[in-house]
Amino acid sequence: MKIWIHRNGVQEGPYDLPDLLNLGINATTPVWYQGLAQWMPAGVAPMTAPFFPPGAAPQPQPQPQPQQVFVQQMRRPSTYMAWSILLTILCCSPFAIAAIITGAVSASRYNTGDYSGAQTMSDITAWLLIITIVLSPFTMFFLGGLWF
Amino acid sequence: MVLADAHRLLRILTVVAAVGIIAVVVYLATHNPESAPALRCPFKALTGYDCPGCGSQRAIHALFCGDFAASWRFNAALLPALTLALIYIVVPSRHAAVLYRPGFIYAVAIAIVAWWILRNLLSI
Repeated sequence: MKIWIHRNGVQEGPYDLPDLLNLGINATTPVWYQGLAQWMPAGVAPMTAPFFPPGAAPQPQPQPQPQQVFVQQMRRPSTYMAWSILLTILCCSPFAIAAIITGAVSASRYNTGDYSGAQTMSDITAWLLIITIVLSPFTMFFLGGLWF
Repeated sequence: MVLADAHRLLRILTVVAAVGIIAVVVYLATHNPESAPALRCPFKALTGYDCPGCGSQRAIHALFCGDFAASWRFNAALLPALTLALIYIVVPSRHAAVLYRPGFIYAVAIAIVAWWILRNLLSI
């Protein structure tokens, strides 16, 4: 399970839980992972709360984090639509058409709050475009050949 | 973690692809693909059918000649597709939420596939 954190005004992550615990965050650091409705302090979110027992560590900042941090949205992962359209038309690649679909699925998951799922589909979109760019010179030259 | 690196790899590859595309476009400015050597569509070579992008090289050359009617005839989808790609590049996403609405993106995919089928059925 990937976890994002909010620190010094910047969103960081995704991290795995063991890596997260080595970052030196405290119980007030806002965290989010798939399944959480909104950002929560690490000491409150069910997955991280056991590692931040109340009173175990000194609380240097007794005042809570500013409220707007908790309602801030995750950044939308790229849909790569410009490249998907360009490569579909110019390279005639089924992978590029698939990349448009995965981009749509990524946008759809983002809208429903499934940020980690949206990131996964964005990763797949990137891979489909990588395959298109790497394969196209070969298919064009060896399959298509040149007009003379 | 390997998957997370896809975005960095893609950034490098898109620079390579952009250089390749620009090189072909510059070549097409002075060469007519109907008489000079040009790239050939692998899908058409394999199946004999047009792909959504077939005719793009002739259409781009026609654009350089200022012949929009001929460009439209060779590949009617080229100009709309290039325009849409340009919009995605230049318009910041916070000003055009509709571009990132799943329904709109699905519509783009359906339009491309419909164009692919129709142009083969109607020979356009």
